[in-house]
Amino acid sequence: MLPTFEPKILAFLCNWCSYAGADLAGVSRFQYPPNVRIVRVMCSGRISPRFVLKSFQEGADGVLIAGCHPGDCHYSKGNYYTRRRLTVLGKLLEHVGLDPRRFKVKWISASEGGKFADVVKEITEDVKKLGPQNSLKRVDENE
Amino acid sequence: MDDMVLKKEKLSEWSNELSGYKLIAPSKEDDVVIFKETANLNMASLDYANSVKPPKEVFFPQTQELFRFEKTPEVKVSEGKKQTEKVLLFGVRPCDARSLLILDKLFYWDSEDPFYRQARDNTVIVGLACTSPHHNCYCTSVGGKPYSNEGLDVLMTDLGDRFFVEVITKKGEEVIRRPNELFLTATSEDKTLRDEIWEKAESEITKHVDVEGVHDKLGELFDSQYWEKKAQTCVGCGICSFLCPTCHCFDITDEDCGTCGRRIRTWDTCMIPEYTVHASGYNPRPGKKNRLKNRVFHKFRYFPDRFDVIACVGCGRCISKCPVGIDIVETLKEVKEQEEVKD
Amino acid sequence: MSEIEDKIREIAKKLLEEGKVKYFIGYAKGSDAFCAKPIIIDDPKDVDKLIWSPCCVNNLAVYLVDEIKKKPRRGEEPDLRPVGIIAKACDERGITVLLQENILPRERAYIIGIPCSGMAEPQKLEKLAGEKGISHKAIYDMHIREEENEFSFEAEGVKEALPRDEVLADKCKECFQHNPKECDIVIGESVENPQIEKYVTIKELEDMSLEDREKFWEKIFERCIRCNACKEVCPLCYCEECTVEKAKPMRWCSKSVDKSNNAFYHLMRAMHLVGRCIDCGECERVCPMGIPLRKLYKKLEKEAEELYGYEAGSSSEDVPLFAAFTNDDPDEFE
Repeated sequence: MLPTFEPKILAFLCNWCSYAGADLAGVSRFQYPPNVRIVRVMCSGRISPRFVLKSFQEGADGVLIAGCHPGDCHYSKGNYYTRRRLTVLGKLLEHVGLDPRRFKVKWISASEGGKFADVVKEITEDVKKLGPQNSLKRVDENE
Repeated sequence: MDDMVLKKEKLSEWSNELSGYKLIAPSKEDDVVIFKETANLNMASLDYANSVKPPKEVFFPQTQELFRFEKTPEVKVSEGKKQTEKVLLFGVRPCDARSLLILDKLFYWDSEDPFYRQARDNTVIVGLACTSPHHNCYCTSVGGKPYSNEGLDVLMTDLGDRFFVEVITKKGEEVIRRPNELFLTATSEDKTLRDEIWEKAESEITKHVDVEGVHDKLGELFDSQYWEKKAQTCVGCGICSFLCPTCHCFDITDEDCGTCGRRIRTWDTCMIPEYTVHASGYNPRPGKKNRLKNRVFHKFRYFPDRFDVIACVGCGRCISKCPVGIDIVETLKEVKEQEEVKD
Repeated sequence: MSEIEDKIREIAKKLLEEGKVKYFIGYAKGSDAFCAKPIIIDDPKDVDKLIWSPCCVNNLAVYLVDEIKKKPRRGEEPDLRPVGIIAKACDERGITVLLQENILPRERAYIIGIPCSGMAEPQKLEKLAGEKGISHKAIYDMHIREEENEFSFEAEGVKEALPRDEVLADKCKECFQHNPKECDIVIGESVENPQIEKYVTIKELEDMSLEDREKFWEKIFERCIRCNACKEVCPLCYCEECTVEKAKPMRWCSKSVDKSNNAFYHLMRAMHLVGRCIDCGECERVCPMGIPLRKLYKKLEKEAEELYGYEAGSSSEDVPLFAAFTNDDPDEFE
């Protein structure tokens, strides 16, 4: 079962840096796994913890969040708030038994197409090894 | 059928004979007693005054799927799962058993609830008389007894090393099949001992209220200031209704996930504002006083008006678990002392 | 202890008679002896109902939020007089957070602080009474007191000491702030803060493997019946509409009660309490299903302290944890 398992990874990318970084990865023809589904948000500060929890609930095996490097935020300080909030969220998820490798936050600038591809490769490989995520996933007794 | 006794160590043998039945019994988890599926009845926890959550959820689950739908691309609708297997519910207290008769009235009222009906029909209820009631129990005030057999198929009484077994209904007979060596005919000593235990249990119930006249009195108190005063400290949680064996309100919501989804029925509580809020945003029961009043009125006035029985069995859960010590018995006593409000 | 009780009654009477407070929030004898119940009095004649005992566990700050949310009837002048309230150290920290978040204007509360060295847990008292074979009738008339730092009870004419360690609430064993700060008046002498090891509650969990922790919480979350009691007794859960029950424009948390939605409910609540939870332990006390919620919130308290040096409820001047940042906050994200 495990070798054929293709994880679903949801990525929230900030419009100004990381989404452009992902775009650059595409334009530069960097290869990265197709397991990641991208949601564009205006700023990583837009990410509410409930987005992450809901993603896991709806069956995401991993969640990736990427934003501008601290200091580079288009809105000057959005990602500083993100940093505090998501650091704590990560600790909380780990406390309730979710493997920290399933939840990643990275700073990816518009010029870091290669880094984007590497990050996606890394999380996909990690999650592939971990197998399907069931700790927060919605249960369906009929299936 | 004659009265019988069952040795406690034979509980496990009896469980084995009950193949074909799913066994649900009280089990203790971190000091919380709840009804749970168990492999053998000898694993049931028996040292409890009453379970924290009433066994009503066996018949009226907190989350019940009514149907599910799918578009693939034609639309497919399938009905929710009903309880088809046979269930033996063990260790139900007489108050909770009485509550099922009250719930029956509602669920079989204008139209019969198929989910509830099927669960009721497929479940045999084996009760356990109370030997040491909790200090908040007041079943004797609302028409119950710690050893009442209303709503039960079999009533057992703990005599120490054995159970005194009384079969009440045909359904009960099926699970206590004779002849076998498990169930022995009860002697007159057993019966005397049972009566003593019953009497002692009844005498241990110290909380009393005379509900006579409460119904009429409530009618006079709809506009009373009393409710505002009483509800001042209520925090508006759902403990009293979720733990109540006779509370039966539910909400119906849809869960959808793009091309598929399901409609579910979940427990609801009249203690939260969302319970009555209209689509327009208007809420006819805007304050805690309206909501607390409604709960008392429903149990002691509206329900009796409609079904001729008080919707309270005196299990005392709402008293024991209320975060702010609101005591329904105290409330009823105060209600009786209030002066009538005239326009 | 009874000196404090007398003092409370005296102050409440004076405040109410002089009309200095709108009403007074305190404790009264509950219907059984194990837990005092909150009472709101507006008539000086009723002050004798006020009590002070080791059973006064409720956090009364939750009623201040009720007061602030009250809307005056049309054409009525709002009564903006302060509300008299009794606050133990943990309750006071809750009030401080309300002040800090601009929910409660300081002049709307007249805070009567009481230094406290721990309260008894109702469940533990009940268990002990059962072991001692106290009759049901006596339970209602039982008196539980604290004198000279010793707990005792009196039932059926017999007075007996209660082993403090056995009846003290878990949260009180871990309390390191016994004295309320933000008060208008303090009753009783200040208590020395103990030197204790912090975060013992979660130590066991932290040492567990990831899988064991997952199993632990799965079992716990499965049990939740979503009665909302944890949310409603929390003085800091003051939102008009909680994120877990919001239905418009979309429902984030389904009404279905299963381990996944229950986990969503509790984790969302936990995230909203980071840097705010003041460990009054009310959520855990009221939970009918025995969910150890403090084990969740305590972890976040620890992270807030270790990562950002932040302590909830220490000062109403602090900027809330998630409303602030520094350039050199710990960064694990690269």
